[in-house]
Amino acid sequence: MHILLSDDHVLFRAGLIRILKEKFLNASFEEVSTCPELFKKIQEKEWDLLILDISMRGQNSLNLLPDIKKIRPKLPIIVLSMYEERPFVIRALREGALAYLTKERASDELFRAIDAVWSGRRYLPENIATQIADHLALKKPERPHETLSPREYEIFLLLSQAQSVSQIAEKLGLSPKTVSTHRIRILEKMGLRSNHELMHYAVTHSLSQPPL
Amino acid sequence: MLTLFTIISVLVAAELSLLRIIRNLSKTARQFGKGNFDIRVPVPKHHGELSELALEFNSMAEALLQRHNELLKAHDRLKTLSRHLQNAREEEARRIARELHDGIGQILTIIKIDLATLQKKCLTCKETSKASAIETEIIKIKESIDEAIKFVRRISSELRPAVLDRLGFPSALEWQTREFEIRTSISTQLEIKNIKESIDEDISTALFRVTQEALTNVIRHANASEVHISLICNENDFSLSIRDNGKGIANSPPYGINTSGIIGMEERVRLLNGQFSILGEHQKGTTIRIQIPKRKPHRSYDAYTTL
Ligand SMILES: Nc1ncnc2c1ncn2[C@@H]1O[C@H](COP(=O)(O)OP(=O)(O)OP(=O)(O)O)[C@@H](O)[C@H]1O
Ligand SMILES: [Mg+2]
Repeated sequence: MHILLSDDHVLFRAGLIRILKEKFLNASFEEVSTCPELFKKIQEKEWDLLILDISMRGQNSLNLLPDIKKIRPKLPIIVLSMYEERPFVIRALREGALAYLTKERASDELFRAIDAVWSGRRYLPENIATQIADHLALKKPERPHETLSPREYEIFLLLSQAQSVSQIAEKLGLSPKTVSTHRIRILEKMGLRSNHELMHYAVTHSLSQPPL
Repeated sequence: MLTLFTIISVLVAAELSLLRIIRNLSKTARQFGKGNFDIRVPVPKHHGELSELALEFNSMAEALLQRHNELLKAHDRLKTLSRHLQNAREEEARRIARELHDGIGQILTIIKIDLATLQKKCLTCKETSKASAIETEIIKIKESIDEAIKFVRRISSELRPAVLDRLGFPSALEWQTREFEIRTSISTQLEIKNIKESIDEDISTALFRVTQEALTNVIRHANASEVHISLICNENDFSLSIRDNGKGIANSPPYGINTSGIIGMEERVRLLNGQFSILGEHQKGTTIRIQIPKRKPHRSYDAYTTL
């Protein structure tokens, strides 16, 4: 079994190999500490696992991932980095890493991550999963006109075409009083004060077509 | 009779030439006042006090011009110094952030790995009661180390986020915006247009810091429920706007007493030859707009690099 460790921190690499060796008695390990070295090793032969740090001597190893994937599409990659910020995780997963672990979790979770990627599964620890969940849970803010009911939106569009309340009433077969009530409700919901502002809103949001 | 006429005409002529000299003098003074510092009055001959006045004027003009040039130079030096300080501070922040994160942070992770090894040894220990006591201690230490790592991460990211340096400003902006939204529950829309090329480092820093200060101000002062941020890459410049729907900043400077937020933003943008504006509408919100030209201004602070 060949495991490639890519990290510019010598002591960290040494610590990692110590715990890995206890578990994988027959494994052979190789170490690299820069992006060019990493790429050379990848080209040299097939590996069973790549454990990859992001920041290596000032370079960002994630930039190499597309090329690595091209040469070794099946190589399981675990990113093991100090960075905890979501954009790094997303970028790493997009570029083909199967697991993302922050370094302080290595001692407790690296074996779990390795088990996962060797059986073709992804692995994210709880701290990373929480971050991504927070991100996904954000509601997309509704724009004011998206809060209108379908009927209100219909009336909104007619008003924005400078049609009067009585014209609209006639067209929709409603009483002018009902249309007028709708109009007030629409302005309220959208935080607008006049038909003039409403028209302006429709123009700036290019809302001349009925919604699909 | 003739002599009398001669005397009068000579007097009138003298009067007229006096008038011309005085008019000349006042015209020149006016021109000078308008900023034409190179202008001088011709010094009339044989006019005693008037000649002296003209000479005085010219020497005053000379002195003022010199003062003016000195001021311009001083202003230039201040601008250069300010840019240098700005860069130096940012560079320092980046260095400390990196050292904390990659240095101390990683050492802490190594200690954790060592502790894990120690923990395993406890399992093979014969005196089980002692071993389990030690293991409890180890778990406690590991938790403290995790706290320390969190702390290092936070300080490092506050000083200068790695996302900005490693992934570039658009990613950093996206992240900054979402973090803001998660932290404050102020709904935030972000629009990024046309960014294809990578953005120059100084410009990235300025854009990031301005957004940071603007969002801090929204939390602290605006009482807003929505923020809209847009970053557009035009042909010759980047434009960034941050708009909130809060109470609206008062519409004339000074915006605060002894505050540095807005002044700092403006300064950063100005040092990159950009434009900065802030506009408040009462109870409708505040909009900050900046524009920074793509090309970097000429680096002329080499004289200060040893500071
Ligand atoms: N988005 C905003 N909405 C309403 N008022 C604002 C907004 N931003 C700034 N202000 C007003 O402008 C003043 C000056 O802002 P500035 O950022 O310069 O200083 P500060 O935030 O008070 O202090 P600091 O120096 O820590 O930034 C604020 O005190 C506040 O009254
Ligand atoms: Mg402020």
